[in-house]
Amino acid sequence: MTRERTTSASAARWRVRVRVASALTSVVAAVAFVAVGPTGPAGAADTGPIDQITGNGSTNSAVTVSWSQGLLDANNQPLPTQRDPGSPLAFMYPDFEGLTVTVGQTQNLVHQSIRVTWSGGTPTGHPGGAASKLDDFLQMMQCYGDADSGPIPEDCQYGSMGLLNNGSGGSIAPAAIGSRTGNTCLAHSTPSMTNPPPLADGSPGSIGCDTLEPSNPSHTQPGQEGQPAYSVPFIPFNDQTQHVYGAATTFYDQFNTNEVQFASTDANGNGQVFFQTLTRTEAPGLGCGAVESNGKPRDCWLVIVPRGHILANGAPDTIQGINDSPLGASNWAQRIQIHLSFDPIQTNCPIGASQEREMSGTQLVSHAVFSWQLALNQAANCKTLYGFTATSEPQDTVDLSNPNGKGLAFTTIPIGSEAERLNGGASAPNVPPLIYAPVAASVITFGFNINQASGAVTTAIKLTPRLVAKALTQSYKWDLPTFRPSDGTSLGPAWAKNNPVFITDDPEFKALNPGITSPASGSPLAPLLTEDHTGVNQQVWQWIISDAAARKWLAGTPDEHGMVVNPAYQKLNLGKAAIDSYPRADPTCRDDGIQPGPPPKDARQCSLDILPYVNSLDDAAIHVRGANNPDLGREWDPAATAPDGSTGYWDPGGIEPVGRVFMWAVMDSASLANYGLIPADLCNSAGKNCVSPSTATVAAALKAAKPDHSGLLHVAPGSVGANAYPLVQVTYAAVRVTQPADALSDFAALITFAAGSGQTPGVLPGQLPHGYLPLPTNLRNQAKAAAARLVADAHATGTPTGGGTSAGSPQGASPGASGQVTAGSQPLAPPSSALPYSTEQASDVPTKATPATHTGTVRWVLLVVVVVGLVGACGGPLLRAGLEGRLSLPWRRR
Amino acid sequence: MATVMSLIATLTTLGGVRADAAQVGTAHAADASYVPLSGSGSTWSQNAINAWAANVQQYGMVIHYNGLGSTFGRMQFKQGSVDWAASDIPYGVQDGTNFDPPPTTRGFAYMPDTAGGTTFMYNLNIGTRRVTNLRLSGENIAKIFTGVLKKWNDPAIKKDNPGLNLPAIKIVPVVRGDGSGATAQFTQWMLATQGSLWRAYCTKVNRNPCTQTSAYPVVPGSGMVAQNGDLGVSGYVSQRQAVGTIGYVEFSYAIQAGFPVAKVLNRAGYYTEPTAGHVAVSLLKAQINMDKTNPNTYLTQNLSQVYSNSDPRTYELSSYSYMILPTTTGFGGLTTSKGFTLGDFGKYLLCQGQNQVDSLGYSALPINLVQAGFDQLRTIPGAAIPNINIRTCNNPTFSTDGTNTLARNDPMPPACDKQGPTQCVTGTGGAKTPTPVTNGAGGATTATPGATNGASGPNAPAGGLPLGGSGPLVPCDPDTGACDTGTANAAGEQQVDGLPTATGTNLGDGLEIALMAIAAVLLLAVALTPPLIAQGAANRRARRNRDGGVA
Repeated sequence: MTRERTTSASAARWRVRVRVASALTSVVAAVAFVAVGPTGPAGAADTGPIDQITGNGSTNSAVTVSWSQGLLDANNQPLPTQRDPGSPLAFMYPDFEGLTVTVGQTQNLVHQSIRVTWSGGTPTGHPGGAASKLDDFLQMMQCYGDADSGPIPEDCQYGSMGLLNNGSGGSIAPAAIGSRTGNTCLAHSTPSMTNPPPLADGSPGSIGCDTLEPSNPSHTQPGQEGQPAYSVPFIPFNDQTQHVYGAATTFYDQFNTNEVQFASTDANGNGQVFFQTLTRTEAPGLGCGAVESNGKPRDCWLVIVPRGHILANGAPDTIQGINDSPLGASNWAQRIQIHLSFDPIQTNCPIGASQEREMSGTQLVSHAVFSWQLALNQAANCKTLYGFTATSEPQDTVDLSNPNGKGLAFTTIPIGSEAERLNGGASAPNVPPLIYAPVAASVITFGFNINQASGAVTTAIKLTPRLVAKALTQSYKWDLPTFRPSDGTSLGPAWAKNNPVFITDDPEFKALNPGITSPASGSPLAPLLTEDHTGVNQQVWQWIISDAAARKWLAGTPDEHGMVVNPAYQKLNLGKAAIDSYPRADPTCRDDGIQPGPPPKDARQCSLDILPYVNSLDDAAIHVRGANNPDLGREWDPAATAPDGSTGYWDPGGIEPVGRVFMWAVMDSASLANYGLIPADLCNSAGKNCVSPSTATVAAALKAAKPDHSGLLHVAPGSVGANAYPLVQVTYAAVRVTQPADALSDFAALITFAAGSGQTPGVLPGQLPHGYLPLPTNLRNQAKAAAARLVADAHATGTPTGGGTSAGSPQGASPGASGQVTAGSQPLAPPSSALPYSTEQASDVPTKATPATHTGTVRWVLLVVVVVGLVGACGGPLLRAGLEGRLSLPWRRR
Repeated sequence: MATVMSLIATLTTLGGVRADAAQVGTAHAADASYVPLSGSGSTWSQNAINAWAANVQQYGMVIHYNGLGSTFGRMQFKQGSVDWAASDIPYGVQDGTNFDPPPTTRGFAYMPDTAGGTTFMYNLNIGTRRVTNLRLSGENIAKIFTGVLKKWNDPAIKKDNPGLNLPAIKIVPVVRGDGSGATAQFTQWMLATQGSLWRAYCTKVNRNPCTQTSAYPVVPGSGMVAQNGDLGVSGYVSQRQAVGTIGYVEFSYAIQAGFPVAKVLNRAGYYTEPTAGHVAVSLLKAQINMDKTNPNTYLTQNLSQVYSNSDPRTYELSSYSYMILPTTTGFGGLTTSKGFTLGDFGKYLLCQGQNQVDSLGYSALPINLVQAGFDQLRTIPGAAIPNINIRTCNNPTFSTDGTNTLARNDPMPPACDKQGPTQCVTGTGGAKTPTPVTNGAGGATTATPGATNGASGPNAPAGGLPLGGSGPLVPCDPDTGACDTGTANAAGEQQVDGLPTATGTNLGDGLEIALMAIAAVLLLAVALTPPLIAQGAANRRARRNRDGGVA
């Protein structure tokens, strides 16, 4: 499929050549995989096709290229010019010579994540480099470039501010590596390792400069003439006259760029990054996928610039570190470039083309719904549009119970049943008749971003239920506000004295995940969590407490190494019943006293200051990908600006410094795949039988799912069996039966699509995005039957606005008025009289006020008891004294 | 594979047909020139903005929003690091000695984006039952947030809640630690309606001049807690161990957290919560500055008449939040392409987007503000804003007769919400479970059915079922994962909560003291008499042995 599509995207005269070339490329790629097999990227799924759940893998348009092959052309074939051993920059080559890069997909691209892996690289923190400098890493960017020879630096989206934390004092990774600028050398000088040329203004050569810059007069920023600096402007694809210097926020910024400013290579020379390809919609300056006047979509490039440990003028990085832009001519010359062909961008419906049919519900479906919206909009010719708002479970019940409220909510639990969970079994509301249709199978996972001095972690992290329990309960010292070893006194509470500081210090974690070290300093390593109360959260806790070791530990028994649960969480009896949220229960605060003003401030930090919640699962994934820690920061900075404008505030954590990144979060697999994060394998308490989230393991879990009283399927994490991934959720579309016919028809159309084409895995509009398992046939049939039922109801309801049934009360007569209805093969739910809740039952709990006096007659009880006790107590010895003469009491005579 | 190909073929075909639809839609060429936009600011309105940003993706629009607080948003807009900002208050609001001057580097305009209520989310239990129907007067709220009221069982709070016997625990006010428009709205309301209390607090924290403020002043050591963002405040209050806390957040956050909010006493003598309908009614009295000649104040709100609105449905702390729009290009990288995109985003959120806010805990904007908003959007360079079409705008407040549908259909509060001896049992905010009430002196349950509360909620059942602590405690079998969801509270196992009574700090009356003294003496006697008698007996025996030598 992919080859044909590429052919149509290429010029006609190249058609045959491209076909052959692409085939050759595939063969080359396959051979390359075999060739690099043993030393290639580790990991079970690495060389296989793309896994639907994690998005990890390659397609048949994958391209492998080695640095020594030189540049690739627009057909991804090597250009005639190879790396020139006689180049004055040849001193850089040893760092790059062994590097081989594989890009997982190069054709039919849309806005998606593609995997980039490499091997044979020089490990980050090159032995020859300075200890305090992080050198030898890769930088990546997307570029346009219409020439067969590839892009020029001006074509590339790079240089956004705020993505890198260069570490304290700037000694870790100078910010300039993330910029479009660098230093220029003395005119007409050549690089030399023995005698590096000075800067253009005569400053010492040890600072580093680029002898080839300015390689173009436009590389001198207007107004900066005479400065020893070059600046590569960005030129948007559709206006070659526009030169944008500095951070080109007109076209991209830190929030929407895809540039990779620092990708580290591990000790084995390997590395991996998921690169987000952007179309013109996300990156208007590049225009990738935009349809040209000839009807063809614009192609683009992925440029990878390897960075070594010697500066462009030959100076060692011992003083400055690598400190200039990958766009500088000397660095740019070392690039690897891979041609990317895009699918044409879909034309979207105009805003206001028609009224949106509003839907709400669980955020688990948001990625799938977005994809389906695109296809449905087109299929309906923009005459039917859908809106979706992620809402809480109780709100879904309110919405569906309101005759004028939203008519469809996506849910993983029967509507209204959350009341039982939230309120301890109380007062489930009356819910009008509903039809449930399964639309998506989602996976809950733990998404990681670990990027350490030893390289980025690219294989799944292994977790046990007990490890997750430890991480969720503020039981590692660094998750406690009162622990801060930097001042030498705050070593945490006594109960935690045997607990590890970080999860990475826990012998249980280390045994499962060898080689992952603790960060040198920094932020808590607890997972980012959402504040909500959901059935989804409850399943995570069900998984944890399905494990006897985790239960025991949560109840207070220390683990084999003496680590105990935080007593604040022990009190919550978490092992007894699965809760539906992630509490931050530790009540202790660190008090740095009152900081002098003006005005004086309480310098106090409590649990939520160091471990704040995030807004949503997607938000969690964004924070993890960006290594953006939301904590308030641990150190009081007398010079920082406080919210009221005065000085003195916490020094915020923010982006974690490169080489010290360890972030993770509880998230859905659609978010994980979308942002290319590393998943966790879930193991049993012995650390064995680890199960990766994958198509096979998720399907196996779904087979073990059992229906509840409304016919909705649930996976019980403790009983899925071996080789089944325990955290799987089926999302249903719950549709109110009594609503206007046109609404019923629209919802039926959505469900029909979702259960049909919408289950085709893929990244194209309308397809099922990575992270969701395609539903098995029986569930699709169930959904289709539900849709058919809605259509039938719509016909029975008659005209959209008329008819008593659509306007009546929720309890009114309607085709499905017998209670909650599940279509398809599932049995109908019991009629409403048998529902576990009703107002009658709810009305007569005896409640009695406490009497006005505190104790009443009970106050006499103590008096009576004490009098009786006194009589008894005195009676004994007196009796004995009376009998003394006649009885022998030997123990009194000692 | 074949399926994929056919789908692509279908989509391609449809794409071709779609051109017609675009023509009937709007004049311009659909998404052709949308570009990504970045904004930052208010967390009060963040849930609504996030929903809009998610929904416009289907139109090819990429909107990034960073909820960092209104103050930070205004600052970033001024610096040019974002294309637009969201703020609950305008620039130039006197905040102590800070004036927060409007940007001089770029032109700007205010556009209302959503309405809502600043609510008081609390965590209170009576026994094991969560309180969900707390009522507070404005005076008591001000006293709580200025440290005057310290205990929940204070008679002043009892006066608001004749049906509740609140525990004698400490009140922990939770305020915003970051620069916040919600703080500004709240303190403005205190300054206007409880001026003497707020001014006294200003003196205590050395705020001079005493104004409304975006940065809530905290008396060090007072026990008041500061948290960042609405999510930080709601996260703090919703912890099980945080019993006794009360914090201010947009209604949305209480709904998401599943927590109740205090009903606030209005001028008509009713305690109300900020349902979409009540907010719409309240804001009918908002005065919007319509003087177009002064961009620094045009469309800003004067809420003083909202505070004194005599409609029984009024929720006094209702307000609008704003988008700050750029009206000049160049600075901050603003181009006409960005302006075009921002104009269409604004158009979307003022019309269609207002349908999404009710479920989130906001109230849709009425027609006059939507119309004024359209005018503001026209000031963005590059924006293509047609005349507003009432029929296709799809804003839920619009009606054919020009009145606000939300306000017109908003029901009156039930009688039990009137100030006086009765108190409704119905839950509030995200906690709909009723709380049983007693009359202050007697003991009878006032089972006032909670007439429909708000426009959208289902009728809450009358009476009450017990709440099993503050967390979900459905028993689950840890091995099978099966949960017992049905029977825990069947008739046989009903739990009855004690209604706690405050323990007095005095020792009680004479009788009680006498009884205590007698009991103490007797207790001593119980402990000491037996050994003393035994010792005495032993001594006698020893003497006898010495004297008589009897063996």
